Amino acid sequence: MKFFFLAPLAIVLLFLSSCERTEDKSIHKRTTNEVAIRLEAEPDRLNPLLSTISYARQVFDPLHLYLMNYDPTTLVLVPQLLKESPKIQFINSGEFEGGTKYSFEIREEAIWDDGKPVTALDYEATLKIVFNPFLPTLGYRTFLENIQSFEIDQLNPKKFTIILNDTYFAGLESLTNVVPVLPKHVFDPQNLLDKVSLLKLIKDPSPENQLKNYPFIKDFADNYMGEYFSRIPEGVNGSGPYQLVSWQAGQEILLQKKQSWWGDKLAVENPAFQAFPDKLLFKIIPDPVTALAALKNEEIDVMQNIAPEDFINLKSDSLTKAHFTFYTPSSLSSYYISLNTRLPVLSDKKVRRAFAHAIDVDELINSVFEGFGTRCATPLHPSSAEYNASLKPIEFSIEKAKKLLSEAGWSDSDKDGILDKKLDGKKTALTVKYLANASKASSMILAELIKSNAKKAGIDIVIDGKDANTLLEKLRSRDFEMISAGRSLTPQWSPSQNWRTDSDNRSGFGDEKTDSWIDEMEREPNQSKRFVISKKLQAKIYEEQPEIMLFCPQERLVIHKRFQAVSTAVWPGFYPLAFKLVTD
Amino acid sequence: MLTYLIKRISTLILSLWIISICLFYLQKNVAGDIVMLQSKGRSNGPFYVHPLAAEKVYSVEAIRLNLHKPLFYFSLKSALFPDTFYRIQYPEAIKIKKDLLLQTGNWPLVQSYFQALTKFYEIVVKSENSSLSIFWRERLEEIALSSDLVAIKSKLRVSKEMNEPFEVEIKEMNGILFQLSKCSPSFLSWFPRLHIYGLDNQYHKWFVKIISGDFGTSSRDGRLVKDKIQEAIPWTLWVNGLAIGIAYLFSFPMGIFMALIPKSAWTKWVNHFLLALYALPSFWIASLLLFQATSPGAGFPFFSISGWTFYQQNGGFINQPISFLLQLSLPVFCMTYGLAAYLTGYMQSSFLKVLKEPYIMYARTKGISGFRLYVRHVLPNALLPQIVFIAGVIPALVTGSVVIEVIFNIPGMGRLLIDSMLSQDWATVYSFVLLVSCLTALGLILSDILLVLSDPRIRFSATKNEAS
Repeated sequence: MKFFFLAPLAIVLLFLSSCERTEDKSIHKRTTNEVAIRLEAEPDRLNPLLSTISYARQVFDPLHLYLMNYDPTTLVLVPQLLKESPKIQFINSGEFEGGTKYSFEIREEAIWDDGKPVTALDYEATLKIVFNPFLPTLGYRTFLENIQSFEIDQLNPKKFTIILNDTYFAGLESLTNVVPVLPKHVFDPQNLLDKVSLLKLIKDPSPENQLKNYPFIKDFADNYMGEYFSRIPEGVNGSGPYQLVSWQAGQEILLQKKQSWWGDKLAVENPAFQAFPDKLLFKIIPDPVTALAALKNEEIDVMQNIAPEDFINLKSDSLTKAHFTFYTPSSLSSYYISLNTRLPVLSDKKVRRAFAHAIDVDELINSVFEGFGTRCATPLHPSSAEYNASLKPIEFSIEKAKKLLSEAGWSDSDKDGILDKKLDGKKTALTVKYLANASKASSMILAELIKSNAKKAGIDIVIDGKDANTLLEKLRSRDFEMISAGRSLTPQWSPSQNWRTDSDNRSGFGDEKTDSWIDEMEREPNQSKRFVISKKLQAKIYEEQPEIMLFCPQERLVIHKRFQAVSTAVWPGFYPLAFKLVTD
Repeated sequence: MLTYLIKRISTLILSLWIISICLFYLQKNVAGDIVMLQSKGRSNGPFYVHPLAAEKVYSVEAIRLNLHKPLFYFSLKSALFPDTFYRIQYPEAIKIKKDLLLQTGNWPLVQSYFQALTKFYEIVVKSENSSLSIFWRERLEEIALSSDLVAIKSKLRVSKEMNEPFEVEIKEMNGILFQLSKCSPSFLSWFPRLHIYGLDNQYHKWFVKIISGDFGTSSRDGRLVKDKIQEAIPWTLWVNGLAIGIAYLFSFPMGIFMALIPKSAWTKWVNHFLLALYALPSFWIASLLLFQATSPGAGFPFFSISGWTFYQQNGGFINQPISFLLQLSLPVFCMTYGLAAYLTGYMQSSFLKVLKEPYIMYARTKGISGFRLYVRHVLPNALLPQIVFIAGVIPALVTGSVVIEVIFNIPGMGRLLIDSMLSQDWATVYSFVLLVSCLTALGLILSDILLVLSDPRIRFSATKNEAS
């Protein structure tokens, strides 16, 4: 009873007490060499082949090593499990004419936790899992289905060669960085996979046929899908510097540095083996407000993807400033608006360019993203060497938009403020339906801003808010007119995924000529020659404007001051293994 | 009483069964395709390819997920549809084939149209001439996504140069299209026809699994739904059990006390205060408390957002139970105050109501007074309406509060529900709903029995009417 009388009083007191902060700012609450990282969502599995949630990657990456990996600062592919970069040979004759041969050798030091060596057999078996037709690993198969031959040296099982059927420029990345090497003796203790031919699996992905060839393959897949290889430490650990200690559902996942890891000796000279923190603690806090409270309380050391306005507020908070460093690295992603060029209204490139002129991107960046964005003119990141810098982002100009539209034959014949034109004999108004993500406030604000500016140029934009899944379905079935979207960018641009006419080409860009450029470019081993074609392709995309490029957002990242850290353009913007504890 | 109970339970089972059918239907009709959801990998997934090539890839995955069986024991569809229509799984193909079938009513012809189209596409893909191949791939995509026969025909009419290499295929297509345009569904075919599929259907498999306690596996992480619920339930039981318990412990004596002095200024003020308390939204209070609780130098220094694991690491084993309860104090407070305010008012009014009953007046005139009157005559009658609450309390114990669990980062049922919904893990969501339906049913039965047992005036038949 008395308690309830005190309740409002308590609340008032709480408000008041928040004004005075007596704590000593120079003393950190957390001092251990343990990095606590906030996770926005719980990983589904800690299995690099089966996980479909991107947050899981942060957790399973420290458990494994790849043949080669990207250096987080230079974004260059460097050998990790490999002794050195592989020898690459182009094959000019024989069975594999036109293909490329890669010769690999795995480091002698590389061993699994039980002391067994990491060999080519492990990698071959890992690929056999990727191509098991009963596993949901389709996403990885596209990168690896060009493999024509996989040969292991008879004398040295650490040496092997792979032949790809063409000279695809990203072949090296596909072979070395798409899947890590997993321990065969753990996932295949009965050596069942020895009976399976990798090439047979690659050539015929049909489950029925493979079940006839290898009757055990479905049971193997079912077993591999089980919890053991996704949640249990013995099943998920690899050759990486960390091991899984515990996973408390909905709460946290703890990784610990292996006591005598074989890579430690190499770390002195090779940054690819650096792993400074003793522990990596991933705290699952989905709600952003709750996560901010935890950050202020120093319960977490690293938080990324902070809402722009929160980030600015944090920066002005003296207590947060005393304990944390703020980073805004450019992130490898971009926002754009896709136009369906198959539609009569949007088939004219002048109309599409007019749309681009009618969007005030700078205002979008400033008002929705608080200035945390860099403009871009092509589908590449402006910081990339491949980016065609001679193309300038299309400026906001209602006048230019109006001029282009009148050149394209649009006029306001009925004086209703919306332009119209006769298309196929029918008077058509310049009304375009814009699909936006209704569950994301920023997407809806963006849509409203675009709508109000376009109106000035005589373009009528009707906003249609839908949930993310409906948007994806509409994109897939090409059932859209104008849609806002984002994509993550890779260090190497491979346009065949989105810009070839037979690919996931949502806008309908391209013709025979651009397709041949793409083929030529992706088969060109010489980087500078490749960039020339790439820039030509970018210029063509810029000219056609099937997608209106908006901007590349900057990551909003906060890291605790007791760590010396470097931010990176690779998602999620930080590389916890390189966090060095600062000792005064 | 036994017959009554049997009747009551059988109606409940029937309604649970109907709920399960509704849930199954919902599960099959939510936005977001389960096959695509499960096979997304590093890239955008394999289904952004040509619609004529996608169907093959799609059905491989659909078979893996057991989606190639009929949906239900029977289907009641227009006689136009063949009984094997369920075998088509690719969403676009279903749409177009359905449209064409409704227009023409000739299933074998529609099928041969698609066979010809697919064959045409396969030849186009193999073609060496790239400009021709690009042109026809795009054309065929448009054709494959269209069910307008006139438009399809006009799309097949192309320049001689584009036509020549594929003359045979186009001729075949045109032949079938001509036949299709002649067809129209006969009058009789509009009558529905019943297809019986027997027990080998998706619903039956799902339902049998559910009643045998197998709630399936989560599409999000491949774990057993049962395990996920088992992990989440203790948290919610703790928070809600404490909240409901404290609310009752507080509100009963308080309500009675206030009912005894109804006209005092004190009661008036407390009533105002309770009303205000009841009106305060808990998510708002929770957010305020959260920030106060954790901002350094203020609030509740014992509370940490990342849960009791924090204490496990810092406080040692002996501190655990205390810190665990402390950890729960803020969420429990947020859950309690509104409920307590409501229950106090409720208890107060039902106590007052009973006090005004003639039999109490009679008891007073007979000389019974004070403690004995209240405890023996008023209280049991005033508690009767509270029994009805039990029906609601039992499911409430388990469902939890989504908002509170999200704000305080408690990995209980509420957060499980919202996480599963956001990641379209329908197996978990529907198991959750089914569990809550069962508990509600259980609560209803329990409150019925308790009502009957506690008040001889309520007859079984009367309760039955009341309840139904």
